[in-house]
Amino acid sequence: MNGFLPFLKKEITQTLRTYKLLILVLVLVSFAVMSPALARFTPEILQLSGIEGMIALPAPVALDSWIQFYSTTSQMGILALMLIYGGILSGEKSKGTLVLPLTHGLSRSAALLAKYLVSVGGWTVSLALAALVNHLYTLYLFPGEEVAFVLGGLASFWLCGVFLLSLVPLSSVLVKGSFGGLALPGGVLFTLLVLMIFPDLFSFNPLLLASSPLQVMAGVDEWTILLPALITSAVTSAVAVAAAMVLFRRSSL
Amino acid sequence: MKLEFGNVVGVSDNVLDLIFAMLPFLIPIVLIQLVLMIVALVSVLRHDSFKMGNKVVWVLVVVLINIIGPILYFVLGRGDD
Repeated sequence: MNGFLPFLKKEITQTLRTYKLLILVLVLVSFAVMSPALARFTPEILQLSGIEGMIALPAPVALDSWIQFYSTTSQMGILALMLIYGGILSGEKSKGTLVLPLTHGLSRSAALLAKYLVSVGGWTVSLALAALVNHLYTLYLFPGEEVAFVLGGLASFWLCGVFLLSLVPLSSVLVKGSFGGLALPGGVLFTLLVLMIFPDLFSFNPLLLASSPLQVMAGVDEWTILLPALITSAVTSAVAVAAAMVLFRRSSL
Repeated sequence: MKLEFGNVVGVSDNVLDLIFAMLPFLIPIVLIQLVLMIVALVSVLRHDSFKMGNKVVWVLVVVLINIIGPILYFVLGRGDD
């Protein structure tokens, strides 16, 4: 792991200077601003547009703002995350900018790990800030209403994002081209979406972590329903990153 | 004005009341869009080489497509320094 810390520092500077982190934060925070407003004002908007009488709308509650937050963030948010951090290794591989530091003593594992950690860090910071904004707006619009399992739910959702990010380094090593890093996560995401149809495999599906926390927050289920998916995601992430490091050491640049 | 948060029924019965109640949300959203647009626009104008497309295309994309436009530019268009 030669040269890990200096390279990590360089990667952090780069994620700030290329505005990657700023964009991800702004995108997720904008969802966090919109979600509570949509949850709270939809009945009025429908009323004013004159179609309120057709559907009976229950009064919105604080949980609705989290439901809205999860639905936008798990789709558009994850899409933005993957687009922004999908090319971190592939881009440098195809441009050849990694050759110089690697020939000057930086170990390949260190380079890969630093890049992976920066993407996980970006996801952590953006999700935390967005969740905080969503939480504050929810308090403002639904004063006095408590929602259970907010932090537990966010931790599960966070792991779902980490799982997808963990596939990026492996994908970048296996698939050539500047968007090679998106091939495996894209394929896995699609397969897992299809697998959501089969109830037998359902509980192990990492994508469950982006929707089922809401069941726990609503009090419909216990948090233990998330356990199989949490374990699958954590184990797969670790294996994928380890495999990427081994393969990257053996691959040609 | 009969804005009363936390009480859903009949919070507002005209458009102005509703817009007023939504200002704490609309203002930050507009600000975020502006920041994204300006950051991307400055970057487009400073660069001469792009991964794909050219300066005019990216200026239009960044200015005309909210939120998604700047992301597209930074992912697909931004060249090297």
